[in-house]
Amino acid sequence: MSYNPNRTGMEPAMTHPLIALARQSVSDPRGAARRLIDRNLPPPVLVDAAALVAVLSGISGWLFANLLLSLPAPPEVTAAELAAARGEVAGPLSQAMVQAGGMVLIAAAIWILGRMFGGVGRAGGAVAITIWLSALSLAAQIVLIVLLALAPPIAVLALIGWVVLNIWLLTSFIAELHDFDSAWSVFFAILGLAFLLALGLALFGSLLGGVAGG
Amino acid sequence: MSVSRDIAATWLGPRRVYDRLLARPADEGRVLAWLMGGLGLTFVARLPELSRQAYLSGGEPPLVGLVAGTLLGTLIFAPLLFYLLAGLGWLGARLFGRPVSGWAARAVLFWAVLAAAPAILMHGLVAGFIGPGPALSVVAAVAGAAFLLFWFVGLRVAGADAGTQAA
Repeated sequence: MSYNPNRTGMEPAMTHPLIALARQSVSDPRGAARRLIDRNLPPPVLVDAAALVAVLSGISGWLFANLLLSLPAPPEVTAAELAAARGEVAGPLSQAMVQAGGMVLIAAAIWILGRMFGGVGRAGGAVAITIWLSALSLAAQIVLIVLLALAPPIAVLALIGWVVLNIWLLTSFIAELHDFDSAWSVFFAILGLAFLLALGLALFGSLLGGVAGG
Repeated sequence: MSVSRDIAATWLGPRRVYDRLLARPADEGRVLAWLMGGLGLTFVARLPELSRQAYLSGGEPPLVGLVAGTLLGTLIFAPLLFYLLAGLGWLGARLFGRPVSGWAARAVLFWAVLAAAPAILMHGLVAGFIGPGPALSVVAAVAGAAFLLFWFVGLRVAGADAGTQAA
């Protein structure tokens, strides 16, 4: 990717442009986000990309859940409980729909809330970074599935690592999208907002009654 | 406009309703009435489900016990928690650089509860007569999303009002 920075990366190269972007996302998240946002991907491309990521995430999430449940269970879990848990795993299609809905909500939140903070990012950029982060999550999940099959203890460590990295990437992407100087203030804003919304929803949910979640 | 028409109007255009509600003079009694009205309806909405629960479990715990517990929870404890939540909303708006008055923070939260009441009632009906399932999940999601959206829009409107007054 370094030998010809003027090309957009669509031509065959040593490294696939998406893989190059994934690498840069880890080594230089803000630079990667800037590259992605500056492509100004048109809405049809974003919709297609979102649909693709959602469908693949649905399949992968379903596999992941089933694989987790196929691991040797701790002795205190009865066979009946395990069977019930298996029955509750959502199918790939419904997981894909949840994923798609989640992406819409996250992109809208990144865009609208960022604007409230005085950010300058545009909706297309917010959608693009949301899809890209979902795609990276998907890749991480596939790695985790493989690890889970080969070496479960390492998979657990990798999962924790990914959660931390994921939050860091989200923070950096948002900071770059909205041209915020400090990624830390973005981080605390995300934390505070998530806390507030979760608390509000928990209180409201308790009003609805215990069966709401079941 | 009457409260019931304002509730319906909130579902169509929360911003306009909040503009109107917040333009009236601050009155703690009125917003408390909104909250208690919303929670009262919530309590009523829970009854079919409690009846179902008592029936399915063969009356153990008895229906009266369930109703008493729910009454205590929704009308005594929940209001206190909503006052706390309003305080956190006030703090959040301040951190976002859109400070709102304490009364406005309470007004928009309590109105969000009351305005979400139709969805809460619907949820109660589904929980009581259909029971757990996809229909209940959808109604719960709609109710939760409506409540969060109304609360959030209200805080925004209140914050914007405060901004224009200061300017």
